[in-house]
Amino acid sequence: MTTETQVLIAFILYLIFFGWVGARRGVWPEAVLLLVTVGFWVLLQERGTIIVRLTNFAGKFLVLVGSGGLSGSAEDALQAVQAAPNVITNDNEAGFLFLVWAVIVLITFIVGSDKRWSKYNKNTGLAIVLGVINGIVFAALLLPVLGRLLETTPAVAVEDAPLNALFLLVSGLWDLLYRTFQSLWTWVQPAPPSVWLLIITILLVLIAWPMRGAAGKKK
Amino acid sequence: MGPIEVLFYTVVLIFGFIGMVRGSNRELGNSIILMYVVAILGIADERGWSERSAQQISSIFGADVARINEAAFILLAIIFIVVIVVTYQGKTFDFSNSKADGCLGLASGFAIGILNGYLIAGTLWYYADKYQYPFNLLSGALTPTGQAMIAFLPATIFPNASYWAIPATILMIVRVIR
Repeated sequence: MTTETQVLIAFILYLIFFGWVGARRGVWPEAVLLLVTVGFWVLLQERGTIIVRLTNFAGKFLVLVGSGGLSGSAEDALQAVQAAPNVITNDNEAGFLFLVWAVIVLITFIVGSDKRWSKYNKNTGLAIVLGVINGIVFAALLLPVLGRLLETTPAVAVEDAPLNALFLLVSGLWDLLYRTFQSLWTWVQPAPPSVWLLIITILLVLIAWPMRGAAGKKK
Repeated sequence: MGPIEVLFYTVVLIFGFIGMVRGSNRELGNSIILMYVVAILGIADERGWSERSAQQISSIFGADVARINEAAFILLAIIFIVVIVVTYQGKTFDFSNSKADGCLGLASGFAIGILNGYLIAGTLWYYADKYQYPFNLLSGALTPTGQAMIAFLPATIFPNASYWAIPATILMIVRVIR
């Protein structure tokens, strides 16, 4: 069997998987996912600088709050804001925009998987087609990114034993995760304690609020 | 053995998955108690109560005074672990009788589990660091990431560990509001 045949079988398997997911989710969730995936990709490539500027502005605002700019001296606050580095720099702009896109796509996928959408799941054939198209779109958008991880797996190691590739892939992913955690510290270190307290409290209240007063009630 | 922060991430992640299975309704109750315990231990730490208690206990058992660090760490770790076991085993401030459904339920359980894991692993790490890693808990020096993370542990992230009482009290209020 030639390598081309293997690639073809792998790609067909991949598309069958996406087609099956499409059939399970239905026409509208798949159509919306396709629109959001492609639409936001193009939008972020073309107009992503707006999001970057807004994020940098939010970062400066946090510095302003941290330096007491809302209650203290305006001059000190202005100096602190001017001295504060941009959260998103040219080096991490592409990664940041990719993260924004991934989060939007993930949220769309989760919302589209809600059972309430299943009443629109009438045309299974069209849903499979849309699922397959989504598969092709994701392959086109994600493979160049994943390729950077996969190309580090030496071809000889893969040919020697197929499980080597799996092991190298998992260890490569773990290294990537570890490096990402390490680089996260450079992002979180400038945040003052008051911001952390605020974030933790707001998150806890947001999660707890819908459940308030329900403890005493019967199921 | 790898860097200590890898162990920290792993423990936090395990608690995240525990939170996912148990649900945020139960995990939030544990968070309240853990945050209060971190605050109380912080106050005790500030006033030197833990060292004094360790000295007293060491003198009762006739232990070597030079090993006060080990005694203090053991004392704090035992107190903290007993609290963890009691909060996870016993009946705590459950926020609801049933788990939140769907992906949001899983995500919120995971997030609160991560917070609980951070409070548990982070507090134990802080005391291990404070008492110079007794019982050879750390071989070699901390990595630069580990050194940076020391400033972000539950006892050090705020100017005073008692700040943890603020979100804990707000959660208590949310718990009783109808």
